[in-house]
Amino acid sequence: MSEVTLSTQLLRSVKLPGRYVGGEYNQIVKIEENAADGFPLLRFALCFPDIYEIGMSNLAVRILYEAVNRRPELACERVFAPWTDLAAIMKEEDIPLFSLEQKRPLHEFDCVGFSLSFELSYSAVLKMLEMGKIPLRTAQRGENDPIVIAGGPVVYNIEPMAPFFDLVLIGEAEETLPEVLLELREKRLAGTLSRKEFLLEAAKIEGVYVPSLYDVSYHPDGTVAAITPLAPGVPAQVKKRLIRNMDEAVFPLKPLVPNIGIVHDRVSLELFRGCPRGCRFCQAGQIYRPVRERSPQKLGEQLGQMLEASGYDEAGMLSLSTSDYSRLSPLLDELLGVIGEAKVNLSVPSLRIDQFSLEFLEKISATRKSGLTFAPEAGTQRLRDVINKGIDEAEILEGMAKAFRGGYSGAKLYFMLGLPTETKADVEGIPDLVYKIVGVNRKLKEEGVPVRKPELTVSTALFIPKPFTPFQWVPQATQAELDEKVSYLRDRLTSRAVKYNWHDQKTSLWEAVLARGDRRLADVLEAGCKRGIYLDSWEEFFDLSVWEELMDQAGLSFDFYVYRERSFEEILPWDVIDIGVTKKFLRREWEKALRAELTTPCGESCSYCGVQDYEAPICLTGQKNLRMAKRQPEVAR
Amino acid sequence: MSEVRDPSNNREMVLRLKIRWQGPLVWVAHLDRMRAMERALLRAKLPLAFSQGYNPRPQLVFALPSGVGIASEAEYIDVSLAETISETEAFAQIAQVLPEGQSLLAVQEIPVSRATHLMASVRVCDYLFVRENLAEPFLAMLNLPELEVMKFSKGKQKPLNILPLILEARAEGENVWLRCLAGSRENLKPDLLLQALKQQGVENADACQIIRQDLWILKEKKASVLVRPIATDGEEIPWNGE
Repeated sequence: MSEVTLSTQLLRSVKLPGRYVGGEYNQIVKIEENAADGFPLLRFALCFPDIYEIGMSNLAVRILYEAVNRRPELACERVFAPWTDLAAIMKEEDIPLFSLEQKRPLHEFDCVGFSLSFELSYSAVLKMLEMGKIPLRTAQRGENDPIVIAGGPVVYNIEPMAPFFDLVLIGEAEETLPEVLLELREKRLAGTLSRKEFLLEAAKIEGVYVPSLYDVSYHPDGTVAAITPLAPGVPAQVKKRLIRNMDEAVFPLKPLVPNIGIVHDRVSLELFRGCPRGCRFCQAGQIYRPVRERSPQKLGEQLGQMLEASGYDEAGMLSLSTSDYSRLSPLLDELLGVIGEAKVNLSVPSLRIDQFSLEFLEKISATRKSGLTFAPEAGTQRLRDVINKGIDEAEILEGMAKAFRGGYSGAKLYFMLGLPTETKADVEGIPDLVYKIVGVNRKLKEEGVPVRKPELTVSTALFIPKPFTPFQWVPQATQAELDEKVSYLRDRLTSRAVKYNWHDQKTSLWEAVLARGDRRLADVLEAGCKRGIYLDSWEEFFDLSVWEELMDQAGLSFDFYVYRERSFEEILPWDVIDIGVTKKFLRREWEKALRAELTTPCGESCSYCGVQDYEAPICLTGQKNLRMAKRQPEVAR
Repeated sequence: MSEVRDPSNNREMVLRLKIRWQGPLVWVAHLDRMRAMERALLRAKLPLAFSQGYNPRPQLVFALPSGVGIASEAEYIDVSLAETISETEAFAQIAQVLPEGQSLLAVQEIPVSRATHLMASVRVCDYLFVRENLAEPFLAMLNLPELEVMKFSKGKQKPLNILPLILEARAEGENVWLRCLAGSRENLKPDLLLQALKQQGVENADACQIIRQDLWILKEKKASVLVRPIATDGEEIPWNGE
């Protein structure tokens, strides 16, 4: 192995050199050449296309690090994107991108994998490959180049990046990843299979998508004509993989302890995967189905082990919607029991506004009062029903009254602009609701309740239609419409009790192109890399005009990807993936959205999304239905 | 020199640690170093005394904060404990949970009743500057009548002649050993010397490793000698400061 030397001089010339030196407590370094069987370890580079502080805050990175390293035949090292200062030095001095653990150049790994969380990180992926001296395209790689793979929530539509990845892990990768790596090691040791042959073999593993084994043809209007497997044994549709038993799933019980501050600097408890709600704008709510919970006992046990092994004094509870965990009370008892007299903070991300959440917060914030975050998402009841948010104004106001009584001065309120069917009245509904909340505070004060001055932070994000949601067919609202809405809100939300934040619209536009994009965009992304675009998920490095120019040169239009309404008959670029939830269900949900009709959460009754058949043994609601169906075979579908 | 205020109200014992500080944690700033030590001590399961209030923290005092890129043969840290524990027990517990690059060299109990503020009693620090062919240009620079560098302080930049802050310097092979004023009154940040080298046109000044060798604190209030924070050999240096 060649080793990249980080000289004192180099480390003195970059900001936050702690990002690049590795050596954190609980880091795993496998210096030995061979495994116990006498054959070389398979070296895997776990790459995250953003800087250290972001990547180390990502739970998937930590889980996969553990999942790979626990196998004695495999060695996993981390690679993050260097900040632009180091990237410039590396270019000038011809230093290849390297891993933290052993400073190994990226191209010397057997396999290089990217954990992808969102579309705007694509520019960093390509630059990292380039800095790592790996040919960008599958077609350009030779037998000695690493196998380049990807996984994560955005890969459900990885088409814009398809030509750059040898294979893609669809679904939850903690089982598939070691499986694929062990397969690769075995084939390498046998020395019989070429790169191509290996990919052909790998395509047979459930959850593995090999983009180069599919031909995509297009109609003259640019829509997809057909997606055709190119070899026998290659599935027409790739089924997502998922973890069946959360209590048995691998989890990093000896968390890496970063030497510099990171974004989420705490141990994480993953309460459950999936979400029973089915908000219609939310991709995570569909792709992670069905709901699978970890038991309170297991979570308590994990908390104890992680705190002891790390010295952290804060634990965050993660899930898509914490208050939907079915055994919150026993969980709290369990966790508070583990913490005992120790000074440990528990934190939770965004909660629904309801009675239960506030009691929950009260219990956990015995030592420190954390902020409240609520996401009504839309300003009127009609629009909240369209998106199936399932919360009404009375609940929001009662919840906020309770919060004010409990000593909170306010909350962060999240809304979306540009949701399908949104009218002027819906936008006006946002300040109306905000000022009603301010009014709740005033009324309490008038009644003599001791409340603090209200401080509300309102944030609006722009709705981006995502694949595998009931809104996957709709056009996105235009920039002009959105600009008008933002400026309206800026004018209305001027009270001293309210702070208004809005999200940059230009990045949203490019994200929208990539989210529902197809393979033709790969040329544009590659041209962007050649132009030097890097880390443009950071607003300071994002320049929409360059992407506009490159789209023009490629003969592609933003309108086609962003503002076009798709027909239900159209073959969508991501139809090659099967997430279990059926297209029929998504379409039914879209039709219900137009009628502002709610769909009940999974726990209450089954809405037959498709997952109940697909993974019957683990979808609890689905199981209940199966039992019912046996008794009553003519149950309506 | 002030008596230590005990914000925790539950302090039974103060332990003074001496740590060799090398490896990745050399490349982080003081606050990150503090946090790394806090976490190590939590892993060590010592009966730490915490501060009161909404955000209770372990009570750690670093003798002299270091900047990014400064290693040390002698980091001294005072830790407040809520229960008494033997020095050997503490040593064993801490030594096995320290981060990469660090080793515990000594642990000494400091009587609570006589505990003085470690940080406030620091007066002098010794550093080693390590690089090929360094001694000659470095010592030549110290022979100049004046050595002015720009010092950033409270967001402002002002010129500072650093020579009066240097007490002694000598070549050690190609490297330079240097003794200077340190602590809360007058303090020479060793990185200023790298800046000075660059100003003098010395190439690759940034390639210099900086390693703190030891620290010297007042032996007692208004003492005329300085001692190491953990006295091992009875060595003292004379002091006629305040």
